Amino acid sequence: MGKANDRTSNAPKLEVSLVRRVALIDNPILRHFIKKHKLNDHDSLILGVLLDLTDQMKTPIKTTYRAIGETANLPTIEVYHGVQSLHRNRIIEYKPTGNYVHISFRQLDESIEELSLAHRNAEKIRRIEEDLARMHGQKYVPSDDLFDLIYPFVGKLIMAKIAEAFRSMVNYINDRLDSSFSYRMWVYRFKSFRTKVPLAEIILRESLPFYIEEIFLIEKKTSLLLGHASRTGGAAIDKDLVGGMLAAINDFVKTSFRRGDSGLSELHFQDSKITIAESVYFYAALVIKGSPDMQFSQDADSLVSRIHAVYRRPLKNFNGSMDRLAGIERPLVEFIERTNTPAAAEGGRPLLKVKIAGALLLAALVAGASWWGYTRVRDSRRANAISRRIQASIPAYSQDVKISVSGDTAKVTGTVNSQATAEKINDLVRQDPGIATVRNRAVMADYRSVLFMSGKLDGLESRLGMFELVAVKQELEKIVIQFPAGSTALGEAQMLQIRRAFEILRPYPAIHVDIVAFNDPAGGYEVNRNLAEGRMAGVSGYLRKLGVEENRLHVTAFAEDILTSDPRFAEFRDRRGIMLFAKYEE
Amino acid sequence: MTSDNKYKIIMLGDFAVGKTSLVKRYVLDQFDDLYLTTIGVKVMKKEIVVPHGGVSKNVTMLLWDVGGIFDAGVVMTQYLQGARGAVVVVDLTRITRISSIEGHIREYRAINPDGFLVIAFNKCDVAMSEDFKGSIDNIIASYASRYSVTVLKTSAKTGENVETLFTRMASGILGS
Repeated sequence: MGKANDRTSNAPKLEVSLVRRVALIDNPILRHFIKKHKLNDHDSLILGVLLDLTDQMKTPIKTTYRAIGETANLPTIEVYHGVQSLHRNRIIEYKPTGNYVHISFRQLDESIEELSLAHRNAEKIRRIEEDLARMHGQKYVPSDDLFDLIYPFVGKLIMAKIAEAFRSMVNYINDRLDSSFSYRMWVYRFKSFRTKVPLAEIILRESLPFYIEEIFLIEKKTSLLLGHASRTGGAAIDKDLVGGMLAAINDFVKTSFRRGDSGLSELHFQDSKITIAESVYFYAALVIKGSPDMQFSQDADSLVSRIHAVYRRPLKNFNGSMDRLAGIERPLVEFIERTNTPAAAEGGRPLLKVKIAGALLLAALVAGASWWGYTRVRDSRRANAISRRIQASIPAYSQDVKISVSGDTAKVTGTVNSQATAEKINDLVRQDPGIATVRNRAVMADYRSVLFMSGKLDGLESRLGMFELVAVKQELEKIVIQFPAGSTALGEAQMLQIRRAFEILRPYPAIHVDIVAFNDPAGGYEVNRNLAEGRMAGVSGYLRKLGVEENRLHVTAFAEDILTSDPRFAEFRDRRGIMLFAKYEE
Repeated sequence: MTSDNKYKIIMLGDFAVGKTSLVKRYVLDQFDDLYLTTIGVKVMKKEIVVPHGGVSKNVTMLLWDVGGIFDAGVVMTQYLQGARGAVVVVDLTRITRISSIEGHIREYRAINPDGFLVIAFNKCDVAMSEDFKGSIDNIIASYASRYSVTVLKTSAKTGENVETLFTRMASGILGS
């Protein structure tokens, strides 16, 4: 390298703007070579041009030094020295043939994806460090060579920074909450003390409930499903297909919106969303319900990093064989279990303690149920004894009361004919040694009044019944059950109509129905008789199957004189289908 | 069936040559065809057991049915990534469009130089004269020798050679 630098000092002055332009190219591969081999400006410039010409190292080229020089705005001799320098650094191979030179790039030790990711992660770190510097309000000195850090070390560093930011936020919330004294806050404080989890984190977890439904692990290049785990253990639809379609949608987003290497990071649907956590060779699509806390994204990245660390080699050369990926689903299952059960994440409770707590709870429930049963029987016996005493002492025509007992309190309801009778009843109730309080709610009324009111009520009930019938009749008459031509079979459409009718009838068990078939009068009755009767039988049968008693269903004979003489059917004679008419039993 | 091997297979061919019909004849299909018109691809699946090296191998094929209305644009290129095999489908009744095979093969090979290829001359159930049949057979033989690939006459309608097409694909990938 020293030789190359000596050469640079004697070279003609470079077009500074051009060098800057190349230096500013956001190309992780170029930056990788510049850093790794400490290339000077000339060589960097030539390398940048060669990367462009070879489509980022993919295609060997046949060109001339002059052509490269024209592109780079450098003398041909400088290009010649630059190509030799790049060759010495084992970056490229070259072979002169006549007036041309064949140039190709050597295989990189690192994959281009790894370099790109490292570059992107370095950018992320820089931004996080800036944020942190602002948060702490002090000048922050970043490490000098972040770019050389490659995945997964960079990933871990990012996680550490995010964790630090998260802790800062938790501390901030803690400070703000310290002065709060609400009941709920004390509950949170107790939980924090018990579990040793910071108060702010507990509040966040409680406020933002969520759980993971499923995780799909998808290989990036082939879009094949590497592993899958589900909260419920099964999938309603084939997981390979879901994984494939998810990858297809991701590809679609990448290309349709010119997103380059980055596809979806999140996809929302109804109350769920899919979050993507990415590694070099694969990505994890996590289907989540609810609002994940701030820790979740970090946990998901950590999961991806762990899988990457264990399965890096087989994934790098993945050829479709799943044999070398045995056990890849285990961390997914564990992650779902750990995330969906926060108590377990906090250390959980020992099984024995849970069992003892369960046994104690069961014993308490049994004791409670026994005591409740005993008091119910005792109160009922006491109420019966008091009732018998009242019936024996006071004539039946002067009272119609009911006694209920709850503990040492007796309640009297019903009717009595006078104040004297009410007081006599009170005395009889108090004779029971277990009764301390009597609540007499009996209404004073003479028998003539009671009979009058009873008659009024019966009339009202009858009128209400008529209203019900009219309402049901009107609703049923909106339904015309139509059949395909020549068919008596009940299809989905017919059954749907009959179920509608059943729902109308269901609350009124006293209402009966006439089942009537209407047809085109021009078609004649004799011709259509079999069809009409078959259809009515079908409707009647399905209503019976749904739960309508057989004696409530009346199939009307399919005859012209009946259909034309009954005034109820007059306005429906031009209908084509089966109708139901509500009525009370004759 | 637990899978020993999983492969992404892509279906290539012009519009309405029968790619979807061929795949549907053969596979587990759980998604609506709306996906095909919306994002230009629909994924279907088939699990088979293939004898290989004296043992039986479980193979899961994820078949990417790519809408033929898409030209060789960016969307297509992305979908081709990582496909271990491709079925190029040609409509025997539109033999004048046969030259499109070359374009599809070139596209696929540019992304997957080592991928396994099968050419399916579809709709072979359609009645044709003996002379025409002879011409078709000559064309098929020429493509088989030019690209050194498996070439089959298939019919999604009758099922002729559909099973064979995908079994050969799985065996070919395993052997490659």
